[in-house]
Parts: sequence; C-alpha cells; structure tokens
Amino acid sequence: MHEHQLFMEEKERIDNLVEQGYKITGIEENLSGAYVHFDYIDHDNRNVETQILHVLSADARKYFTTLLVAKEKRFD
Amino acid sequence: MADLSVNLAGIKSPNPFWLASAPPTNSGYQVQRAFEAGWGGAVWKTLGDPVINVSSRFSASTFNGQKVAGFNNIELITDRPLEVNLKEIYETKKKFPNHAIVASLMVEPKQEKWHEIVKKVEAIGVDGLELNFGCPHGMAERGMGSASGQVPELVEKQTHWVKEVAETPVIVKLTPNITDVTATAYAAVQGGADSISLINTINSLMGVDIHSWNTIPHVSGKGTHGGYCGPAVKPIALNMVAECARHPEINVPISGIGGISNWQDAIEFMLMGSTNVQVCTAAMHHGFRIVEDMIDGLNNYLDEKGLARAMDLVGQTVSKYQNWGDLDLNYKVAARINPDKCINCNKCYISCEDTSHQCIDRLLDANGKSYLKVREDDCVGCNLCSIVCPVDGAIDMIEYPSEVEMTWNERQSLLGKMTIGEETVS
Ligand SMILES: Cc1cc2nc3c(=O)[nH]c(=O)nc-3n(C[C@H](O)[C@H](O)[C@H](O)COP(=O)(O)O)c2cc1C
Repeated sequence: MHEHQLFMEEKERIDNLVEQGYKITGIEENLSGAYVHFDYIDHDNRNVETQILHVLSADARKYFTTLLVAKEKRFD
Repeated sequence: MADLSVNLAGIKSPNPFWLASAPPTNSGYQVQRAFEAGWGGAVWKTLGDPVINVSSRFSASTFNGQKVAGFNNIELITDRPLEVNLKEIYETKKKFPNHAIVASLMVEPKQEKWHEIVKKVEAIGVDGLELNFGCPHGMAERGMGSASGQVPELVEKQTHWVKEVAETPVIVKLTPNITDVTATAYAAVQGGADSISLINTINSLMGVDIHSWNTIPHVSGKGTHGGYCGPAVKPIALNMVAECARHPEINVPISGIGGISNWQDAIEFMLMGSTNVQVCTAAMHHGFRIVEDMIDGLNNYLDEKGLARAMDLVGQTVSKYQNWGDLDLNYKVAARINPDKCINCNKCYISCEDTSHQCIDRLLDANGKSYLKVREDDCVGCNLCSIVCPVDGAIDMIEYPSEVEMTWNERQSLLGKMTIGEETVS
C-alpha cells in the first residue's frame, strides 16, 4: 500500500473520532508507532468512553499532533 | 560600485579575498603578483623552524572529468629560513601598504618558542598573526599543527602565550580533524584569540595504485596520510564555519576557508558568518587571476541586492541555521516533472523506485508515448529525483508552506504533557 493511502485511512479514523466529540487525552509512542487515547467526555464531565487508535504512518503521527499544536497555538 | 573592503578583527583589506597560507604565498614574488592581480590579503606560508620537504607532494581526485575535485598534499610548512621570509614580507608590505599581510606561525608548544617568533615577526611589520593549529601531517608527528590543535587545553594555552606578547590581531586557524570544532574554537576564544579561521586540511589518503599497490602519492614506494582540500571539502568547511558562527560563546570574527573557488562560494561563507575568505586550491588550479572574476562577481551581486558594503553580507544566514528539532515538520516540498523538459531518461524513476519512496509512475499518454509523473501525495520531498536528473528545470520541487508550524521540539514537549506512562496498550 502506498504510504499516502495508509495516512488517509488513519486520518479518517482520527477525524471521525474528533467529529464525534472525542478528545485526545493521552499518547504513548514506542517502537510500534503511536497509541492515541481518545476520551468522550459528556456534559457532566464524566469520561463516558475511551477509544485507543494505533497510529502507524508518519504523516498520521504528525497529523494528530498538529491538531493538538494548532489548538494550543489558538489559545496562546 | 559597492565597498568591498573588510575589517577582520582590525585587519583591513581592500576586498574579502585572501590567499590562504600555502604554496601560493610562499614568497614575496608570489604574494606581490597576487596583490597586483587583485587579492586583498595573503596569509604567508607558515613560518617556523624551516623544514625539509619530500618530493612527490600533491595528488588530486578527478571526478567524472572534473579535474581537482579534491586536492591532497603532504607538504609541510616553509622550508626557508625565517629571515628570508621576513625580508620579503617587509618588502611586500612596503609596496602594498593597504593590503593585508598576515604571518602564519607554527612552533613547538612552548611559551618561549611562541614569544620568540611573535616578537621577530611583528618587528618587521605584519597586519596580524595566524596560528597554524591545523596542519594534519608531518608537523603533527612532531607535536605541532593539528596534534596541538585537537586538544582544547593546548589551543587555549598557546593562544594565551601568543597574546601575552602580540601587538597585532591574532587569528587561530583550526583543524577540521576533530569531532566538534566548536570545542577548539571556544578554547581559542578563551585563550584570547581575536579571530578564528577554518578549515585547514582534512586527513586523507588520496588513493592506492591498483597496479603497483603503492599509495598515491608515494615517496619511493612509501606513503603517508595527507591533508584534503579543494571543492570536495566545501560543505564540511561551511558547516564548521556555521557551527562556530551560531555558537553563542564564539563571538569573534571568522575567516572562512575550504573549497572556495568562486565569488558565489565566497558569498555563501560570508552569509554563514565569515568576514572574509581564504583560498588555496582554486588559485593553485587556475592561477591568481581568478580573483578578477571573484571581485566582479561580488561587486555585481552587491549592486543587484542593493547593498552598499560587502560587510553587510556577513552572518545574514546564521540565524536560519538551526537544530534539526527546530525545523517545521509540516512544511512540505514535492517533486513535479516538467514534461516539456523531461528527456525520459528514467534516472529519476530508477532512483525513486530503487532507493527512495516509489512515488514516480511511468505512464503512457493518449498517443502511446511514455511519460513520468510524480504522485505528489506520496512524495516525501527528499529531492533525490531532482538531484539525479541530468536536465536543468526538468524537475521542480514545489513548496507547500505549512498551515500550522510544528517543530519536533514543540511536538515532543506537547507529547511530554500527554504521555501515558510505559504500560503496553494493545
Ligand atoms: C599544498 C598545500 C600546502 C599547505 N600549507 C599550509 C601551510 O603551510 N599552513 C597552513 O596554515 N595551511 C596550509 N595549507 C592549507 C590551506 O591554507 C587551506 O587551509 C586548505 O587548503 C583549504 O583551503 P582550499 O580548499 O581553498 O585549498 C596548505 C594546503 C595545501 C594544498
């Protein structure tokens, strides 16, 4: 599979979770890539559900952190 | 006409082009002819206890028909007595009072030896001193040159001894034969150096003759390592200059040396922090008159850029030279093949398919004619295709500026706040 195709699939999975209201709350990076923890937090601030994505491609690992950096830069 | 004059730690010269200490500056005859040709300064062939040289001294690499891509020598310092050199320095300075004459010096690492030569040389009137801590062969076996230039404590100590008596600016010439040149550059500054110059030659063995099994060059069947210079060393020299220029505690002016062959090379070194440049191999290859083109080229360039003085170039690129971790991960370039210029040689395709990211497709157009196309989304922007392409303009690297800049260091500091410990998540 071309790298870009893998990236597009992983990006879609990330975007889907973000669109559903999930937030990235934790990241573990190791030899196997990145494990990204997405938490769904409801109105009462309760962690309703956690999803973990195993992100492989370099571009997708760059992508999810860019989302976080963009958010941080907006609030700077 | 822009002002080409430069001032290196108080040493003034009508332009930034100096001859480096080497065979071109061996004698008054040569240096005077060089000044007549237009060179702004000369660092005299290194003075010290006169040596005896071997015969068969130089060799050079020819790369794809390009003569002297790299140059190797096993020559030592001057083989002429000090008084002979001093007399010629005196005469040359008298004839060319506005040109810079710097005396390169090398003696044993002893205080009294340095004091003696500094006093003798300054007495005849030089514009500055350059301490040769760089020569990698021969002299190093005697504890001089790069043998002392590789040890920061010795660099500092010897610079200090010179500064105890020197009345003219002291340039410390550094050896590249060290892992981190900023360690010795910093030691020179600590010792009181007014300036640093780099690079001297890089340890090298030019080759082995596969027929006679002799080294190249050889002296009656035996060889020894030499010093490498010329165009091949330019990227190494430029990086070393840049590393010194951006080091916060190395704040003395720099004289850039290493593979400088034309005005463009000189400007690159100046943009990277060199106040002036020194040239050896290019002058040995093409003669003194190459300086005419260097002067014209620099002058025209400054006019085109609307700059009044050559000194305005010095260090302009230094702040752009950073740690890898501070580069923007989201900036992208991607290759685009220009079908009007491509000759379908397939070099880009082969290099990408075999050794890079397999993002060039060989396709057929409506008329059955083959053409090459980059899948830009898969292209990582490595530049390999455009590097191997034999046709200028056939491959453009298209820039895609990032919407959100993110460096590795920024990314890692953010991740540091979100790390989930070391537990395995499956
Ligand atoms: C044949 C030869 C002799 C040299 N002798 C000296 C010397 O006596 N003192 C010195 O400081 N550098 C000496 N060098 C080094 C040059 O000054 C210069 O640092 C080096 O050649 C890199 O510049 P280039 O690439 O323009 O040649 C010599 C270089 C060559 C090729």
